Amino acid sequence: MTQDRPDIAEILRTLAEFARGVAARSAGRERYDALCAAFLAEVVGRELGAGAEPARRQQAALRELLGVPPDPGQPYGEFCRRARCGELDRDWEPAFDFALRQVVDKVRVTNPDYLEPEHRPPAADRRRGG
Amino acid sequence: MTGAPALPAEFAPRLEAAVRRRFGSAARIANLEIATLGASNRTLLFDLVQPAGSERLVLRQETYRSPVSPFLPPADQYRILQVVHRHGLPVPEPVFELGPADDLERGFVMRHIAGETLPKTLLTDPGYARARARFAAQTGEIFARLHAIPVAELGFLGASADSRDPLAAQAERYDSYGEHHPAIDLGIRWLERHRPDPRPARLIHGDYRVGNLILNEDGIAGVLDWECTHHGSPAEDFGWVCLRSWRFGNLDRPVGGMGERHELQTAYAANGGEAVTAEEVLWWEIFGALKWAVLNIMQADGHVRGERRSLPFACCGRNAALIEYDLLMTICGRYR
Repeated sequence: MTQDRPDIAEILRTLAEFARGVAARSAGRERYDALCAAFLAEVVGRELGAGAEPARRQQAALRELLGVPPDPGQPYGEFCRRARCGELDRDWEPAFDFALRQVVDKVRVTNPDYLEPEHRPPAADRRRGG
Repeated sequence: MTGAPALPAEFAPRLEAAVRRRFGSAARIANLEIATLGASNRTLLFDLVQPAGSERLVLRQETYRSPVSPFLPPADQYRILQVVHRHGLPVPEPVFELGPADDLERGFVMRHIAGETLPKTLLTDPGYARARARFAAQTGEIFARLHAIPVAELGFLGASADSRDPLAAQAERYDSYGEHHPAIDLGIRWLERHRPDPRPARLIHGDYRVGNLILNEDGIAGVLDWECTHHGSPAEDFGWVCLRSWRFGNLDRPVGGMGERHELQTAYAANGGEAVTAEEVLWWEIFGALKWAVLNIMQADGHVRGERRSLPFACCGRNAALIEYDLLMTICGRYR
């Protein structure tokens, strides 16, 4: 860790700005690649901004839903196995709620504007890049 | 195209030699360019120049091979093109298939159809207003004509995983990438529990959507990209063209972001298509979201494994979450 500026979020913003600048003066495949690079830098910024809270919340939800703590190496493995073989059919509603919540957490990182208003992150988190 | 990856130096001489094998020693090629680098194929444009004149041709080359590839090999695509072209569907006329002597990997050449494929242009440019207005009805007519082709004319497709059980095929591909996505496993389970009644198999395009169609100002001029064709329910093509991803932001126009469901259904029935229920189409839209998410995971897998390093494919891995969101929001009834 370092306290020097620019911090990680600022470095990522700088890279994204650079990539968007390349895209603005390019065409074809190079422009598309530059836009992708900017997008990926922004994804990293939002993922760092979100921190560990989404994973902590999901682990607690999985433990409650499945009755066992998730495997740290494959946190969704047991949920997916049970969902596929029908073992969650009787708990469909809470299982569905968990899956939707997990996807919302992912989309908040990938592209929060894609979400319906009730699923978007609070404005303060978005300003932080989370 | 600026920024397009360069072709190997030996490529153009080999393509010219391939052309001369078919059209004689006086033939040559000119104006070679890479048009697109798609998910499974590379498309190149070139002029075939002969003493009598020149014409624009398209070379489609395979760029992705895998034991769990969802895409048909070029030889199969070529056979499909021959059949659907013979039946008068708006498709590029097949010209010749590459062979071992050409030393150009696997692929085939077809005639060029002029027009536009870019979704953003097609959905916003005032010049395509008439094409947009006709899109859903034209699609209904094309589906009816395609689905009426006897499947026996392309009987070999019946053995494909997508023909035998499209849901099992997607599940097998998803499993092969070794990832755990709660929305996808839940989606597979939902689809298993709500399967529509089986129907007699029809010839299905499998990837009919804006982006895989050539439009001119009057409407659809060419149906491209036959690498996902198989036997199946006619409702599968309905579900895919109505997928939210293929509306490109025009969410209130479910048929390709351009038209209405009733226009599609009416034109399909008017051209001899069988009745397809809204419930069936909904099931296939949910299936389509699952399939599209799995395809994005596949692209990211190719990138992460190093087989096909690419910035767009890296993005695909993260974009899968957006499609998973559509999948769940459609299952719970929020999206239609």
